[in-house]
Amino acid sequence: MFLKELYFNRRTTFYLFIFFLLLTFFVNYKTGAIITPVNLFGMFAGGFKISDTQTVYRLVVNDSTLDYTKYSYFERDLMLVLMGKYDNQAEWNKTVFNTMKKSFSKVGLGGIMKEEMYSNKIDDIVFTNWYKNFVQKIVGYPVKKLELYKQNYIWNSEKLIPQGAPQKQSFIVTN
Amino acid sequence: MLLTKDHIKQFAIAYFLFALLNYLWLLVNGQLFSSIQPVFFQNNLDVTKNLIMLSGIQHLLMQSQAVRVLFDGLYIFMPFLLCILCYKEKKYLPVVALLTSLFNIVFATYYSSMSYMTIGMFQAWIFVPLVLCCTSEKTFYYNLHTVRLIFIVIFFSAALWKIKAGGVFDKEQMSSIFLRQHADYLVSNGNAFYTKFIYFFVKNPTVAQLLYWFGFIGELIFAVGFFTKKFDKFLIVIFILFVICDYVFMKINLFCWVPFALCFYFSRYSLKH
Repeated sequence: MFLKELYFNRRTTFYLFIFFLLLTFFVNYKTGAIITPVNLFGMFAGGFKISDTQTVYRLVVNDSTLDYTKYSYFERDLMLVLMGKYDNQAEWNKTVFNTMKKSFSKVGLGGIMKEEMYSNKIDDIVFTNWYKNFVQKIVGYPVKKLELYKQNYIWNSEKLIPQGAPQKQSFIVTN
Repeated sequence: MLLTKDHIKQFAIAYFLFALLNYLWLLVNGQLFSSIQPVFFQNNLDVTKNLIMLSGIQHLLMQSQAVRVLFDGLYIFMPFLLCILCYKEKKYLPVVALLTSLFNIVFATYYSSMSYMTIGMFQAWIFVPLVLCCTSEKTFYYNLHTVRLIFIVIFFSAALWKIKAGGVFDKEQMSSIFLRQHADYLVSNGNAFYTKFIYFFVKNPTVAQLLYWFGFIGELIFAVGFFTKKFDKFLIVIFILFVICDYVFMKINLFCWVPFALCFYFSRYSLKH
């Protein structure tokens, strides 16, 4: 067996591999934080329901709703994922900072963790200007006006049906 | 077949070519740091990431184009250097291999905080350079097989998760996943070819679930690699099919994991006894 061979020929590599296995087990068992390069790969392991509410962001460029199917998957992801990350970064970064600070404090590193290091100094206007420029590069024409709406949908066996009125997202500052 | 120095060189060249392809794809599609010019970052519950962020480099990356260009440059220069050093059989190859892996951890830390990719997509760029942390065929052999085992652990754990979380036992799991993954496409334009393609799977849960089971079996079957390397060429085929299907059905780019396939390809070579 390879591991036996590794143990007798490359002891350090063997122990590093065992360490990797233990960390993998720990990360997958605790399911809290990861320790890169040891990660948790569920790859859509389960828990999704057809009746789940689906939240969709609708991007309106120059008064016209963007048709995502006209763009490649990574262009769609760049537009939607980055916008979603910005939307929750302030709150999420704070939560992560507080959680990690507690853990780091246990090994004496809490004191050197400063919140300003782990948070962004950005406001919605700066983000909107950057994002507008970003969207402009993807769509390939000047973006004079940009609006973002959040809408929930539910599957009715035929198609996704909107629930309630779309909510305009204020972090995209409309000109 | 016996493992020779030429095989190590072939491995290094193949690794560099994969890195170059990945880099060109990022470059052409304006996805390098210097193109994105990030203005914010999002942290994660990741011990390593938070340790690296103690350095404050995240703020430098947001403020300085020179730092972004440096990061982009090193991301391709390190694999290039690794390839050259391996070809010339230089003794400091292990140090550069280790530095490449460490730099890729730092790059992945920041890139995943400032772009749409997750840090997990960088696994191959972190682990595969470690195979070249060697000065002899013997060390290469043991590194290669250890990284091969690491990949098997990663892939196989995804199958175990599907059992634990119950995805394999739920008849509507894949339809629900399609709905969740592509909801924005589905409401954006119901008449587009890809939208109709996805609607078909959402409306036919059994067909969709078959795809899920194929994926699950693909992950599960990798367990055979723990015991033998006899089936490695079949595992390569399964893995490549998995990556293509992930791209076609889920629009997830796992091509950056393909360098792991090198470990299964070069596992055919053995050491002199």
